[in-house]
Amino acid sequence: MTATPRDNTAFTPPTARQVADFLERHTLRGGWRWITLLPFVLLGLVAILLFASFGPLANLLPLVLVILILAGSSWRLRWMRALEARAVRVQELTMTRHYPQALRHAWRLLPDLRSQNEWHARTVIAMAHCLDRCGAFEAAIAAYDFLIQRLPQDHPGAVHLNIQRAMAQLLTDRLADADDALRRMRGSADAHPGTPISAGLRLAQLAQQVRTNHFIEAVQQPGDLVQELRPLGVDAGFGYALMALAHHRVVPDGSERPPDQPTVDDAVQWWRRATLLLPPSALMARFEELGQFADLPVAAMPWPEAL
Amino acid sequence: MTQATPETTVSTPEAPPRACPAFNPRHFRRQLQLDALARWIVALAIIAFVIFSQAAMALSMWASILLAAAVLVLWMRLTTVSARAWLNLRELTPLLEEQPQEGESRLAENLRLWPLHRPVRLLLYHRLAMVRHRQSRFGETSAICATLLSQRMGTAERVRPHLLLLMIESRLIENDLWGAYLGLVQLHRMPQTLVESLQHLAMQTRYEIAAGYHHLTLERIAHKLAMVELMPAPQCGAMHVLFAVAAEHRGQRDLASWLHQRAQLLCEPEQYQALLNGESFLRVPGLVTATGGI
Repeated sequence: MTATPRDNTAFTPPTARQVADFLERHTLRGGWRWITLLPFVLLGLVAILLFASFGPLANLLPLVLVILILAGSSWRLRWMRALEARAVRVQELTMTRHYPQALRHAWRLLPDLRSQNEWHARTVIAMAHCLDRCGAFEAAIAAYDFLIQRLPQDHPGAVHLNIQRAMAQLLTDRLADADDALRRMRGSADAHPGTPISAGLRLAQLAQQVRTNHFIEAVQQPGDLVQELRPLGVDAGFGYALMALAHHRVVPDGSERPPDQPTVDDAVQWWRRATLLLPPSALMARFEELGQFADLPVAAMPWPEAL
Repeated sequence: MTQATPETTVSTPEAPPRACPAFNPRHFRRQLQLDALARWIVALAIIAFVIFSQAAMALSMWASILLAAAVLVLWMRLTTVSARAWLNLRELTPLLEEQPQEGESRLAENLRLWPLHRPVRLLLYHRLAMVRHRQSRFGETSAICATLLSQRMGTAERVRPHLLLLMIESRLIENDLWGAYLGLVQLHRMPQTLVESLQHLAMQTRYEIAAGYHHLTLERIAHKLAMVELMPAPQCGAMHVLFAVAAEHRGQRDLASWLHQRAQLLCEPEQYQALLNGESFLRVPGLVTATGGI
């Protein structure tokens, strides 16, 4: 990474090696136990000093120590709140799709979060997501690996991250790795029906079928795709666009037509659904194979003038 | 041959989970006063001990040590009870989501603890407001929130926006538009996290639709849609329906139709139908239940 880019135009995503090294260097080290114990040690000292008389000046020491304990606790609380506020800022920038800024903040913040288990994990997740959305898939995979290695295998978070990693692998044409991951995740994702986890798996499977040219399989896959992808919100548009592409690829060649006979209208309908939720530019930026819709007379869903 | 005798196992029936008592503002204030009293006693004891320790030492060493032990016990009592309640608070939020009855029972136990630090007591009552909101006891939710909001909250200040959101939603459901408006005015003046801003937008829209200010709902609609897309799918779909209703009232048919089509993709068919039928027109479940990391 151009260590901490100053603006979006100067932003160059880090390489996978840089991300892996950075995360290893700033891995969790656990809290400092002595900091937790320090106030109690000082209180003990106060008690000893109260019973011992070393002279008039020494009599003030207990009061000074009590003030020090209070000031120290207050400073530590404020420091932790400031860290939390910075971590929240990273989350918010990620949610609002300001990926380069979020990444820059996370890169600076992570070294300070080494004793904050929860916020450390959340920040690395945000980093992985930002790298993924910036198109730095190899670097994103490195961040996903770091997280997955530290979570129990069946933890819902681990399942979700595995699916995200499989999607990034598909987008970098690491098809065998992605296939292996998706096979392993099938059972785990079934435990979370109707959630973004199962929807994410369905989207990844669809992307896999399209990337490996199994268009008929994609079209014939049982189940209601709209229902299955619904938990993804507007991101379900990516799945509808892939389905439109699958229909479009199947229809022209008569020999490949499946028994239920998808028509051009099906492809048009899926594409209109996709572009109802997401603009064509966003769809094509994520899946470059969708670019062919730009040259086809398949109309995208027009957005109202009020927008 | 010895015949195996069946083991006599005594099954102890689990105690039924206890529900929290109905909220009583007078009882709540009395609890706060008693907590404050305990804090003052401990503070005065510590100050007195620091001032008079040397004199007590001169009189009798054992009396002095006993005095120190008494002060320490008082201080430990105040701190450990609060610390325990504080740790329980962190477990309570997921528990209330997953096992509401068990969660309420644990909350009831914690509310009975004494003495507690003021922020801990206030946060426990904040969780009670969430429980009542979930149980659709909106009158009580509104009362709890209004009472808490009238207090100085100290380090619990960060739950103030969430309390306001709970209160506004309860008042909207109870058709108390004036009360909801007052809550929204307070919320406008407050710094909010992104999650709170999203919930604020939802409340604001529901208020505007209920009060007939459809033109306000459609102001900066592109920005509002971008915000709404950050919500989970059911809430996102429900917000689309609300925007569509406003567009229909303003005669913007293209926009209304486009929003309805999006809503159908985002909402479950039953939810979409319920929203259209007006069954849950003002009530979009789950919008304000998340604590946003509190």
